[in-house]
Parts: sequence; structure tokens; C-alpha cells
Amino acid sequence: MAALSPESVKLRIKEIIVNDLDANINSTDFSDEISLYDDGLGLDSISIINLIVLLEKKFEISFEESEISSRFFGSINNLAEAIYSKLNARMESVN
Amino acid sequence: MAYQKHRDIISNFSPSNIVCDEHGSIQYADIPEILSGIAAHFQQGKIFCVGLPVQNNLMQAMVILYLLSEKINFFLLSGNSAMPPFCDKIVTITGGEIELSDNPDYVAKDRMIKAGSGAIFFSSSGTTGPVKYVYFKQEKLIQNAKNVINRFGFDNNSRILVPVPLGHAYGMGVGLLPGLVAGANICLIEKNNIVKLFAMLGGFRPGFTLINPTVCKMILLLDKSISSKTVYITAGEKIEEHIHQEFESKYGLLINLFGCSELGAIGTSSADDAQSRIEGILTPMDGVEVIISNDEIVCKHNAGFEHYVDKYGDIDNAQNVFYRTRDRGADAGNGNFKVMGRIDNCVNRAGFLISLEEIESSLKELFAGLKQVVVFEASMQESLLTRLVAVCEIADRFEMDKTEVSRICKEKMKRYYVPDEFHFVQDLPRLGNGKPDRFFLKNNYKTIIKN
Repeated sequence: MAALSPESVKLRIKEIIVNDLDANINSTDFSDEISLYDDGLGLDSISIINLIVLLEKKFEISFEESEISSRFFGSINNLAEAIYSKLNARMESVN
Repeated sequence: MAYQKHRDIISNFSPSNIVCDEHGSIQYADIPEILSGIAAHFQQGKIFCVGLPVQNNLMQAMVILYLLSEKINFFLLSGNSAMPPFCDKIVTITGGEIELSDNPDYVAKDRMIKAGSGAIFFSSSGTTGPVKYVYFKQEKLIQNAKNVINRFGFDNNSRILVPVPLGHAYGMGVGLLPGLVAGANICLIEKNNIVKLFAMLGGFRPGFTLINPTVCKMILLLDKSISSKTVYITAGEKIEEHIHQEFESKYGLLINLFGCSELGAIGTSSADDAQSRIEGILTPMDGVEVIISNDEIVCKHNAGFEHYVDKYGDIDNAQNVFYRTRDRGADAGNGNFKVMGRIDNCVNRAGFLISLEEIESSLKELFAGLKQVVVFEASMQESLLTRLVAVCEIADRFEMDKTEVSRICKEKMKRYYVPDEFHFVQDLPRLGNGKPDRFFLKNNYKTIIKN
């Protein structure tokens, strides 16, 4: 996977949520800071599972047990930052 | 003087044990002070019944404990149902603050159940037809909790994680109430999802975690290691044997609990016998007798409900000694039994009992071009989740596609009613009497829809 910028990671996450989750969410529905679940985007349990699986597949990453947390999944910003860090860490280990 | 009445409910606890949620915790030593604060909201005179829109949080748990201690009648409102007119007061909790208000729909009348009698009301889990209200006497619900304590060995060293709603007999009767009676550490999760569950498994490190088959399958689907070791208790629809086996091989003990709103916990699988657990063999709780009558599980319970009440709080249906569960069962020998499914073509979807026939009727009402609809549950191997599949026989003039049909259903129908898949065919397979052949369709629909 070619190097991605933080903004493009964020954009890809949003595309996955809007296009692949079947959760009835439009791109205009969310800001980068609101929660992905509860009173934010309101993703239900099954959507969150599907999101995790899709993110891992599309970004070719794996979340550790401790990373399935609100620290990572609390908002688009948090999630993008976490995925960007993982991608960077992988690039560095390859180099 | 410190509040003491809760000691009738919680008799044996360690002062440093906690009741907590995602936002905070209370030690048992501080409960008297909390309950004194709650008491200040309830000084308005005699209350017939408090309605509690249920939230899975710490203050809600304390309010429930207060109401139990004072023997104030209360109703646990779950989902989006309306508050029944037999509740004269409603408690709302916002940001930890309690407000007690009048129910504008309250109907004052003489009732057999008296104020201050410690009555607890649940909505029955069924979603078909008018809401049924289940009435428990407090002493029976406490006995139900003690049945659970005895079966699982809860004590004041236990740590119990309750991610399931307190508004159902499962969360309240198997989680919160037994936890309080045992003086255990309790953690509540509001609007559970996998992120919150993982966070609490790691943070609270429970010895017991209440889940349901959907959560079980989601954990398997995620395929992550879980370092915290806990006994999982699952209630709801039957889990397939291969899924049960896979879950236990990865995550440890998964005990199946069978119960209902009307009787609370009826039976569980054995903690000691892995094979019988996987096969779904259940042992009745102590003091509970289960017989199989015409393939139906019928139960005589030492701690079940008194009877149903209608929305005005009057007796709706006198209760026989033996309760017919509407679940199909089989005798498993030695007083044990197995649950085989529902008698009434209902399915359990994340705690809601849903009639497939009601979904079919709703679809036919929504879309004039559907001549016949059959809805069934199908297992999807790739996702482990069961899906509701609708196969629809369409009239020639029917022109909508699946995406549009699905969109309209999501707008017009309750969430758990909406099928996950729609398929349109010219002709459904039929039995000799002209009715759709549901069994054949369920087992062969993928071939049928291709043709």
C-alpha cells in the first residue's frame, strides 16, 4: 500500500463508513470529532464489528485487543491518527 | 442516621466493593449516603408506581436499589414502548441527576395491587400484539436472584459485568439483582458495543460476563485474543453447536441460560461438562421443575411472576401453577432438558421476540406488488450472524429493486423487523395445500433465487 497522508486516511475511513457499512449514513452526517456510536454517528454493534473488519482488510492492518477502545474508536480523528501511525510503523519496519 | 433499609437487600458485602459504569463508581460503603440523596426526591407522598426508562448506569442501579429497599412499586420500561397509565410517577436520570415527574397518562383507580407493596413490573419480551406487563412480588424476584447466586456461586468476591439492558429480566434478574444481593462488584455498560465490551473486559476484569448469542458471534467474528479470563453467560436464542465449541476453545467457559420475563432464570447448562454445554443440555434451577408437554417446555417455578397486568395495572391473565413457555423442548434425562426453538414461529433478535408472520404481513402492507412473502432466519457461514431473509413472490407490475425496498422498510418498520436480504421470485415453492413451503425454501433459497 502506497504512503497515505493523514487526511487521505480520514477520507478513506469516511468512504468505508458511507459506502460499505450499510448503516444509512451520508457523508454530510458527521464531523471528525463526534463519537462513532451512541449519540454521535450512532453506529450499532454490528456496524462497529463490520467497520473494524473492513478497516483491517482495506488498510491491511490489525488492531490489538487493547486498541479496540474508545481511545481509537471514539472519533474519526482518533481512528485516522491510529491507523496512520500503524501504517507509518509498518513502512518504517519495511525500510 | 445513615440509610439502612437497603441492608434487607444487600446483607453481606465488602465495603470496598464497587458498583460502577463507564463514567464512575461507588463503593458499597458509600451506598447509604447515595440512597439518602435519592430519598430526598421521593418525599411527595404516596406513590403507586414509578416508571423507570431504563438506562444501564450507576445512578439507575442506585435508584432501583432505593425503590426495592422502600418497597415502592416500579416498572422497568425498555425500548421505545410508552409508559403505561398505571405509573403515576416517572424517574428520569440525566448526567447523574434525578428528576421525579408526574406521568401525564396516569389513570387513578382502585387496583388489587397496592402502593408500597414492592411490586416490580417488566414488559414481556414479545413484540407481537399489545404489550404485556409481568408482575413480580419483590420476594419472588429476590428468590429468583438467589437461585442465580446459588447456581453460579456469586459472592462478595465476584466481579459481574452487565452489558445487557437492566430493563429485561436477564440484565436485572441475572446481573444486577443477584450481584447486589451477593454484595458483588458490578459493572454496567450502557448501550453495549464491542468497543465498550473490550474496554470493560480489560479494565474491570470480570469473573462473570453476561452476553447474548449475537455478542458471542460478534466476538468470534472479530477474532481477537481477550486476555481477561471470564465466565461468559449467554441467554437468548440457541447457539449452534459448532459456534459454541469454537467460542469455548478460544475464550473459555460459555454457559447457556434459559429463562423468560415471566419466570426469570429457568435453567442453565453445566459448568462442569463441556459436551453437555455444547449440546445445549440445561439443568433447571433449584426449586424449578421443567416438563416437556406436547413438545413444549412447561415450567413450575419457585420464584416466578404472579400474573400479567394490563396497562391500567389490573389483572390481565390469571396464572396457572405450570407456565407454558411457548418454547419447544426435549427431555435430556435426569431432569434436564434442551431448548429446540419456538412453537410460535418467532425468532429472538438481540433480546426481542419477533414474529416472522408479523414481518411478512408488514411487508405485504407496505408494498402492494408483493403477492406473498416468506421470512426466515438463515445462518451465514462467512459472518457467523444469522440474517433475516425475505423471499417475495411479486406481481408482474412490481418494479422496485432490493435497495429501494430495504430503504423504505428501514424508514417505516422497527429496526429488528427489517430483513437483511430481499429476494424477488415469480413463484414460491408450495405445499399441496397451497401454502408456501417454508422448510424447503429456507434450505434451498439460494438455488431458487438463482433460477
